[in-house]
Amino acid sequence: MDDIRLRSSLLRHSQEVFSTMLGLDVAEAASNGTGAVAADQEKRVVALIGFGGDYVGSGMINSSQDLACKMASAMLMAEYTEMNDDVRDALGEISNMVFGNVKTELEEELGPLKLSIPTVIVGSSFDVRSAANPSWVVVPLKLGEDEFEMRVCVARSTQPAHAPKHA
Amino acid sequence: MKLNILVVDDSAAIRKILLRVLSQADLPINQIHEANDGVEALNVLGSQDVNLVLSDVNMPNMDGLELLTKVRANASWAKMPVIMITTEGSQQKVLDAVRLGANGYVRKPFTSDQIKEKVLTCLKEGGN
Repeated sequence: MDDIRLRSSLLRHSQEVFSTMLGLDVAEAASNGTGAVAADQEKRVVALIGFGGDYVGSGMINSSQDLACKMASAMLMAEYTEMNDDVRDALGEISNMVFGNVKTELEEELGPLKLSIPTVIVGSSFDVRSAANPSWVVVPLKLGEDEFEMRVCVARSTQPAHAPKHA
Repeated sequence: MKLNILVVDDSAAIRKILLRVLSQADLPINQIHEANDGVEALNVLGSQDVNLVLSDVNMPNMDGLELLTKVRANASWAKMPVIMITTEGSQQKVLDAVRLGANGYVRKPFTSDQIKEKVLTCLKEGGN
């Protein structure tokens, strides 16, 4: 799947998940695609999920903590003003739904892929890189006045598909 | 007959949403039980009288398809309605779940109406 179709898939499934599960409309933000949120290193939260198979990769939601609280508030119909387990879990599940559906589309071209359990990282001034593929497809999104990003990278695995496990 | 429903998902967020959807549905519910994965779900099934299971597929420790296999292998639960709720929306995954005995399949993201409709359909087919 080329970057344009991958970008389109990521945007479509992001909009579907936010509309259906959060009752919120997200739109593509006007950005150069280098990462509007990445410049703001304070109080960030990242949800990461991995793909595995003949192809490997990662999906990532990159948001401010304030915006993550707004997402959780909409999803769980409760008010969250600071990061806690509910907010982390909500962001992890949003990543699971968005990238799970992107994965289903990827499988049509790349063959079966496994999806990992999401990992949510909360902090400030950190960078995220993929060892498999340093080039991310980035979709900057706008939710009201706030912006966040969806990112995905996929590359052919350098490991044999059925390599023996390490002891 | 009052229903006892088991919701199985490693995401507390999804469990909360399903509890809300089921509570607001026009269903004769007695109690809604929760489990974090297939292992916890089997413990609940062993200790509670459950009429219907809603389960995620992709979970740690024991996933939803392994849970479904164990439920169908137990004579006491063999005919209990089980609905799978998952992002795993490929045709093959749906066929795998049906082959293992799932009564219904709902893809995430889902609407309240989709959950209610699937639960009602399964209960009608199950004769509850």
